[in-house]
Amino acid sequence: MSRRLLSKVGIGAGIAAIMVFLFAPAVVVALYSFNKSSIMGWPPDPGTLSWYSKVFANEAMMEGLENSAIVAIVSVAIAIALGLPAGLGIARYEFWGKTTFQRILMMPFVLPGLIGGLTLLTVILDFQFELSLETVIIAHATMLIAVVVIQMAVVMARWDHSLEEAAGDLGANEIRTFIHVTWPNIKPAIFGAALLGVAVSLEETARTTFVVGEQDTLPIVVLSGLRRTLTPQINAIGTVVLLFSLVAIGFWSKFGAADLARS
Amino acid sequence: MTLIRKHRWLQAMILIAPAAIWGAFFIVFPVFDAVKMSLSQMQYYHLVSNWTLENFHTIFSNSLYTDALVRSVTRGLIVAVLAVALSLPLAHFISFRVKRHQFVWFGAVVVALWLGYLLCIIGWRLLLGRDGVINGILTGIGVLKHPTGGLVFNSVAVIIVQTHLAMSFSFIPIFVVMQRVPHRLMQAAADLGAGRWRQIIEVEMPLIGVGVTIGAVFAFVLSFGDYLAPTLVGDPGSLGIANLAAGEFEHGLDWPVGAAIGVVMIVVVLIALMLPPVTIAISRWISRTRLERGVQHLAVPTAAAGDVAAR
Repeated sequence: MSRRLLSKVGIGAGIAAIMVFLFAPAVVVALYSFNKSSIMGWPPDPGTLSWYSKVFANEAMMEGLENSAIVAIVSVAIAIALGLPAGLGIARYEFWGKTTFQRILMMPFVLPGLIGGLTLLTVILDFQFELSLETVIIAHATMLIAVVVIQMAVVMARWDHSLEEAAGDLGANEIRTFIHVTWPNIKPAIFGAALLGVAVSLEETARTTFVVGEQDTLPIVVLSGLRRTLTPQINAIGTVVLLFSLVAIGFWSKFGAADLARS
Repeated sequence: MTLIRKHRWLQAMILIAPAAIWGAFFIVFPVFDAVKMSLSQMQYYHLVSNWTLENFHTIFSNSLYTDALVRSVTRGLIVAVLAVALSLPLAHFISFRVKRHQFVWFGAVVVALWLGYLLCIIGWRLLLGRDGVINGILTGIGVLKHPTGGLVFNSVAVIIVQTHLAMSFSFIPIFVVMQRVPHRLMQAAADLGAGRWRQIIEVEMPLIGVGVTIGAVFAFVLSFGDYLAPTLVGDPGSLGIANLAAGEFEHGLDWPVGAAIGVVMIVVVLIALMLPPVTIAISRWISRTRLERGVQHLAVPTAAAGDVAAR
């Protein structure tokens, strides 16, 4: 009995330690964003919202946030415009080179961000293009296509596509079938993928540093701040972004991940 | 319109063409362009494309580059082992010990791992710093007399941060394969007298091998390709090959050498990515040979292992 109890306590302590390891950084970031002193020392002294008002008055940060929002929205739109039809094509048709096509689309997601940024930068340098927000959008959209295609593969595998065949038998053409049968079925998943894409884009750093121009995105502003010194302002904006992405993931898991769990 | 309706291949082409063109321009072409640049040279601040292997010769003959490459690979392996070692018990606990609200536990772990690169680094700097939380607690309970600055800005801190980042890539595939381990199989093993560890080693492990390999490979790739953690929580001695690649471009030093490092990194990552298909093949082969030998007590779980692997 006592040995059983001991092993139970041991397992509990081990799992608790892993959970502490996982949660500690997030908790600390959020906690110190309320710190009264600008020096984030021990013990923490929470009790002010001033860093939040300061960060929203910080021009560099707000410009970064604005640029990040533009990049996120445009690159997600591009990723859906390209990834949705590609996902349909992969799910519904057989064609020569299909596996290669899928693998290539997955590459930016599987390879480190550094590779994506570096290879894109060689093209930009080679052809002497300007670095700008557009180059950042291209880098982000290229990565997010994989997210949309994966989500499409999951959702298309789930629902019964004899419905589409039935619509075809009843005389609907491919476009009407898509609008009236396919789209209502995949809409929640695409919405989920879009939110996930925005969350991924908002925190993308590794490839962005290579292709960013004069207009910095939020992570780049934070990164240059980090190279100098830590201030609770960074924690404040970080906590806001984190909360936003948690909400986004919550929606994604409601609309998109339910399919994942079922598959 | 009728032409399109008649030919299914034409419909497929229309659907995949936009993504295919985008991919050709922004995924495939950049890789070829990086290869081309890696074979060029910088002369008087101009790129000269003269198809030379000089840059690769520089990388593999200069200990600055080879040491960094070895360091990155070693660290990648350490991070892969740690990330899997932490993910396995957690996934096992949530899959087999947690009876209710499994999805809440899974969600909580995903949320904790969704910190993103920079916030994770900031968090660990606040934890490990001289005035940080860990120093504060350790001096508070009397383990340390004075706070130590030795916790951060070294290669151990880099490994900690990268392990945390890598767990989001290792935990999910491991959790997914564990969800597919049938509980009655574990129960059957228990009924046949297998102890808890024997159940885990002989029933669970063969079934989750593929997920573990995928998790380990993803963790390795993350650590290998990461150039931010070494500069933000490491010391000069912890800089890896990725930092040298980034540095050649960031400081506008020698783009062709940077491109050549990128090409070497792509090759290393592609080799790592070959591992999961190889393990699938091996686990199928093992389950087949075991079945053929007709080993009764192993036949049931390994047949299922082949089944999981096939999926």
